[in-house]
Amino acid sequence: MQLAYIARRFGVFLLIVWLAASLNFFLPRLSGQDPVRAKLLQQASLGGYVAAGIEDMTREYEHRFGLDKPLWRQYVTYLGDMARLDFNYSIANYPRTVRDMIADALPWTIGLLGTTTLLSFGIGSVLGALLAWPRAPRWMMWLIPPLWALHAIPFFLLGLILTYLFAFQIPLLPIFGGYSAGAAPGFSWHFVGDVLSHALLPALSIVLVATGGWALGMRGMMVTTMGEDYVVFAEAKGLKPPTIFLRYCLRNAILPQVTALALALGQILSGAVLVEVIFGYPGIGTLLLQAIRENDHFVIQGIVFIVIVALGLATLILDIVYPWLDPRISYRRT
Amino acid sequence: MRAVLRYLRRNPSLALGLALLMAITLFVVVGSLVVDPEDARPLSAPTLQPPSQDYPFGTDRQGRDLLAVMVVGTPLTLRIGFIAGLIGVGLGAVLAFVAAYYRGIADTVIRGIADIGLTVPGLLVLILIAVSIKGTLTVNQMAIVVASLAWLYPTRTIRAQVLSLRERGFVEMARLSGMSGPSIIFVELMPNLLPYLGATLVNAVSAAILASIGLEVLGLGPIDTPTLGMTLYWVNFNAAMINGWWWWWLAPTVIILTVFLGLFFLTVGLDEIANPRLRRSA
Amino acid sequence: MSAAPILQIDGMCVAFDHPRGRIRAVDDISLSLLPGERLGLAGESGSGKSTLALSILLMIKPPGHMEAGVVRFLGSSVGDLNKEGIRELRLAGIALVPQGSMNSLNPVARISRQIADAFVDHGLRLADDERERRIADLLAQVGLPANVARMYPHELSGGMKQRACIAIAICLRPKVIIADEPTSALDVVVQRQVMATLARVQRELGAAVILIGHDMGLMAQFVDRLAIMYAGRLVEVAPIAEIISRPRHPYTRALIAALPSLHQRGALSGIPGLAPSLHDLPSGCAFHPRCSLAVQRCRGERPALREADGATVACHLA
Repeated sequence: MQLAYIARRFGVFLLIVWLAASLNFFLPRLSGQDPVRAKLLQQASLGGYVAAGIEDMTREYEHRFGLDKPLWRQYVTYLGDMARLDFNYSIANYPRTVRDMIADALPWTIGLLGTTTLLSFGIGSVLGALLAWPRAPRWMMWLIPPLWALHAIPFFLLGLILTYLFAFQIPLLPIFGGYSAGAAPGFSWHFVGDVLSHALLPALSIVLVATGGWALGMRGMMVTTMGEDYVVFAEAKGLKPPTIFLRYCLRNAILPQVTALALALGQILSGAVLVEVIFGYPGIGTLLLQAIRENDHFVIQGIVFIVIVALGLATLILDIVYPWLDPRISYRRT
Repeated sequence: MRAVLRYLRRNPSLALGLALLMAITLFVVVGSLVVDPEDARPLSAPTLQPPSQDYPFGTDRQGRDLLAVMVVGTPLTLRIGFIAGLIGVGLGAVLAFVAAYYRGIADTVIRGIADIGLTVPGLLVLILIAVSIKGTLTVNQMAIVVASLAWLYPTRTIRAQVLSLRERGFVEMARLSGMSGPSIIFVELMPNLLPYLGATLVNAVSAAILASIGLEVLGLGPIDTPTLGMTLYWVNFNAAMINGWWWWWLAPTVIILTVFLGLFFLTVGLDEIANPRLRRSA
Repeated sequence: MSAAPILQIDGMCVAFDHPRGRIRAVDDISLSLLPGERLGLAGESGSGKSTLALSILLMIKPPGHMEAGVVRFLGSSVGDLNKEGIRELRLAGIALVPQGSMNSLNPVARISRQIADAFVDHGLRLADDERERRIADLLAQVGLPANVARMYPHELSGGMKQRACIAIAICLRPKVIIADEPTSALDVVVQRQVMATLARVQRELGAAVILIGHDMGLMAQFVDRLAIMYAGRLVEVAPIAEIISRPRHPYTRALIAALPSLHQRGALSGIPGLAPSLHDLPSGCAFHPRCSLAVQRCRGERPALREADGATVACHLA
């Protein structure tokens, strides 16, 4: 039954979320760190003095952050908070809440990641399919070596190279930030253009590398598919080449690719985080870098949690969509 | 020797990969003879010098001689990758064999953990772990941290290979002739998988290097050690790009590029040995 | 029978380039097929039967290529047609029922779509309800219920899939049907059903059939004439009654003798030795190492196909 399948996948999703939350909770505490005290001491030392009342201040803040209750109570409260997406206040940027900070940065990352993943998967798959098709134009074969070489390097490395090219050799595109300093965020054409020009290099870093990977994978899959009996029969039926290419080959070859996409999401995200750091792009990556520098544990935990949940959700959606693509996988348990 | 060279001509990827990696090794070996490792420390040279006769790779903002930094840092980065990759594949292979050979509960548990672990973005979990550890990490500690996740992917792929091998006749024969489980694993299964394990190892090393550089670029690496990733961290921190200090990032970028391309072509070359079906398609 | 052959194959040679050398999968085969006739093509695995079938439709792909041979359909040479012409000829003129019904249907398309594909790409524009009606008719012709149209291949049994393949093969009313091992992966009961279906549709269409297989018993029940292939070469062609009662070629004799009989009891006889590897064909007659009647001449000289009272045989001793 359809419902049982979806319920089971959703159950796994909840399990992942719970694991992420627990990991987030227990890991920092294992090393015995007290983030509040550490932060306060840091602030105090910056100010050049250690006030006598620092113990009282620490206790007050700990109480405010709920760190003075017994562990199991903290855990339960924590789980409840996670469920409500309440990640507490940012230690470094108090009184901003972690949720607000993430809410500001997340759309940028989703925009970048979403478009680049769709583009590279789409273009890569079609390109790969054409590369495998014997009737494709000859010149396409020349694309293979550069695609291959490109997909071997991490996203951020290409980001660095592109930065060099466009910062020093051809100073055409901005290499830092999400939009020009001083630009007023809004929905004007000018602002949108500004955003796009800033997003171009980070997006290119991801798309150029990822497309190669998908193209080569798809090409391999197509070669396998083209050798299948049903493709031979399709040709014996006197079907037109485009029909065979699209409905018999590509339609079948894309299935393992979609599975590969679901599995690669985590990697793509990790790569995108580093790209954002390189370009100072105002998404989750830069936020994370800042938080690490400022020892802002709550922000770090909030980000990790949200990302794991988002990825789990994306995988869940892909899992549910897949049987619709491949009728052999019924909603019944395999 | 001639047979090896002849094979390399038929397998250009392997040749290219080995050549690139050998170039790096040569660089490090010759460099360590020529360069004083102390120069990789801050304040050993005037700051922000572009490449010159005295400082072929230039210097950075803290006065490190970048040539020395590269010579010292490259083996450090590679070491992290290698240790983590080795542990990852070692652990992964053991788990994979146990899961695939004995099936049952062991298989379900191992596979479940590996599957869930793989849907989570590795870098983020590594960040969590690194941030939770008091103080900054040493190079060896980083290797252990990266290794903690490095076994996930190898476990899954090796398990799949063992499963397909297991169905083949010779395993059944070995079992019928009374060989014990572990000896079947070592004597029958493992030798058949060696090329595949080799390819997986190179893959794992590459992934581990990437993970460690990723952590370092975020500032979670061994902060006083001049590894490649940390150099990039400082490049980012000091906005070297915007300030025009191009030599500062050029050296680590080129070296990282060479390492990754070398490892990639090596993997492709090894894949061809492991999977003879690929050999025929030219 | 004074009718002109509907399909004529002359001197077909198909070679494959293999790292170990070039091999001839089909070596100088000539056959003719009369309208409405049932011709069987028998031989061991690897004797080149399927390759011959593909060569008729000009579907040989690298590393194989057609070295020589002319295929004439309704008198005109197929090789003269351009790409479009050949494409249109397939299924509409000569239809192939493929081997391996397990995997010959597109796993992600419904059966109705796989039949409709053929209509559309052959220029047949139909209104929706007309198309549905035709598909239902086709399914009924092969003995499948109408609801099969909405199904996917994995929902059908082996026999049903094979019959669906037959339905696709006849949907454009071809003049020639080539059935390549249509019953190999099926059990005997289903085999019978499929062969009965094939016989019925062939009669209704008045089409000629080439039945490819290695089951002599099946051949005996279905075909009018039988051609035997060995190592890519034709060794005997004769009416089925002749072959069963008076096989001329030693290989044919051995094949017939190997058939278990309900009447006689005794040890099953096989053919000693193994089929030769095409890389390493024996000199002269390809069968001579396994032939109990071989003489010196068989080793040195390759026998040509000749008429020998009622049959065509390639043997020095026939």
